[in-house]
Amino acid sequence: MRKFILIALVSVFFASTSLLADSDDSKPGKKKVAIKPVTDKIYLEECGSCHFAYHAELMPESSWKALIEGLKTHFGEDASMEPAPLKQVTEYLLSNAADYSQNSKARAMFKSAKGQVFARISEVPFFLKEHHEIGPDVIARPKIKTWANCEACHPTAANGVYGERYIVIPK
Amino acid sequence: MFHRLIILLFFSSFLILPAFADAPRNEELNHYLSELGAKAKKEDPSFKGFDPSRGKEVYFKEHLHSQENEKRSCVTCHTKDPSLPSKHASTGKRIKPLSPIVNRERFTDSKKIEKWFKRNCHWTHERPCTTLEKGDFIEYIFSL
Ligand code: HEC
Ligand code: HEC
Ligand code: HEC
Repeated sequence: MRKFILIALVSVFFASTSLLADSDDSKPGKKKVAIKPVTDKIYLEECGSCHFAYHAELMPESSWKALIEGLKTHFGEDASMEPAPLKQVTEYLLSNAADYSQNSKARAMFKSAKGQVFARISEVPFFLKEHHEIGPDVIARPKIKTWANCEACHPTAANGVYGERYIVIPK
Repeated sequence: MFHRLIILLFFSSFLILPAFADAPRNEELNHYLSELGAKAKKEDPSFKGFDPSRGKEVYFKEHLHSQENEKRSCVTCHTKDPSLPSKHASTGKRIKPLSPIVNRERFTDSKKIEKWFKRNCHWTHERPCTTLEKGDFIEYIFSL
């Protein structure tokens, strides 16, 4: 019985430290890989003028492929582009997709997708789990409008920083 | 002495005013506009030049979208005053002012201008903008 309690305590201890490390990316010690800020100028220009330039790391490669194929009818917009920028954008998205990321949140996005193709980052199961506390009434606020508006609540998103302590939810 | 100063100020204002009244047009834009002009002339031999007041109508003209059942115009994303920043109607993303007086990057790249005319005219009016509408629109923005 004593042994059992000890094992339980030890495992609770380890579980909680790893949880803490997960929720705080700046914690020293355990190696953490951050989400890389986007530096690709063409991507920022082509995919960042109608909305936030999403990190490729936050969706699996198969979903990005489907999105690229559908750019002509992209959420009610014609987001098609010239062959040269299209090639560059495709390269950025596919080679930096969640499949190849070492970041824990990106890994979780990838795993939760279970090979399924998604039209939106905001529809991937791990995204829904992370955001389950936010209701449609919050999203409908004029300063937010849509889940696609990541920067409304994550003002540091462009730097790849989504952590809880940097979140500001507009009234 | 005082009079001379007034006179000096009066004349120097001529030197300064034009700089405020007109945003610079680069060579690429002039070339793009002259091509648009030639095309407009071909489409309608009575074409006399682009007109900012017609361009103002292009900017404010509303269209009832066939599927979304909402009225759309350029104002929907660029606001009533093109010299102010605005927000994208569906994503909330900030859009910098269209006016080249406050935003010198505007209307300097003909490929970019064409790309956005194609997208935005389609989104707003469900059709491409005409040659005349494009030229008039640019003259309106530059007249502000
Ligand atoms: C002409 C405007 C425009 C361009 C250009 C554009 N998009 Fe979009 N995008 C939209 C709109 C509108 C939405 C839907 C916003 C909403 O209603 O939630 C959207 C949504 C998205 C979403 C879903 C966001 C979510 O909710 O998770 C992704 C991902 C996306 N776009 C990626 C891209 C990529 C990658 C590019 C470049 C290849 C691109 N977009 C270019 C207009 C655009
Ligand atoms: C309405 C505000 C809101 C919007 C819009 C929003 N988020 Fe979040 N996000 C949150 C909140 C709240 C959390 C949960 C924080 C917590 O409980 O740890 C969160 C958590 C996250 C996390 C996990 C952060 C961490 O390190 O724990 C990621 C990644 C994330 N959001 C990405 C996005 C992306 C990408 C978008 C846009 C497609 C987006 N969010 C849109 C509010 C928002
Ligand atoms: C759905 C939102 C939306 C609507 C409606 C809209 N625009 Fe735009 N427009 C944009 C975005 C986004 C950009 C590019 C972002 C940026 O450069 O800041 C842009 C850029 C432009 C540019 C490029 C200017 C330059 O040189 O940088 C032109 C020209 C333009 N719009 C014309 C129009 C016209 C004409 C209409 C009305 C028929 C219109 N827009 C309606 C969203 C819109």
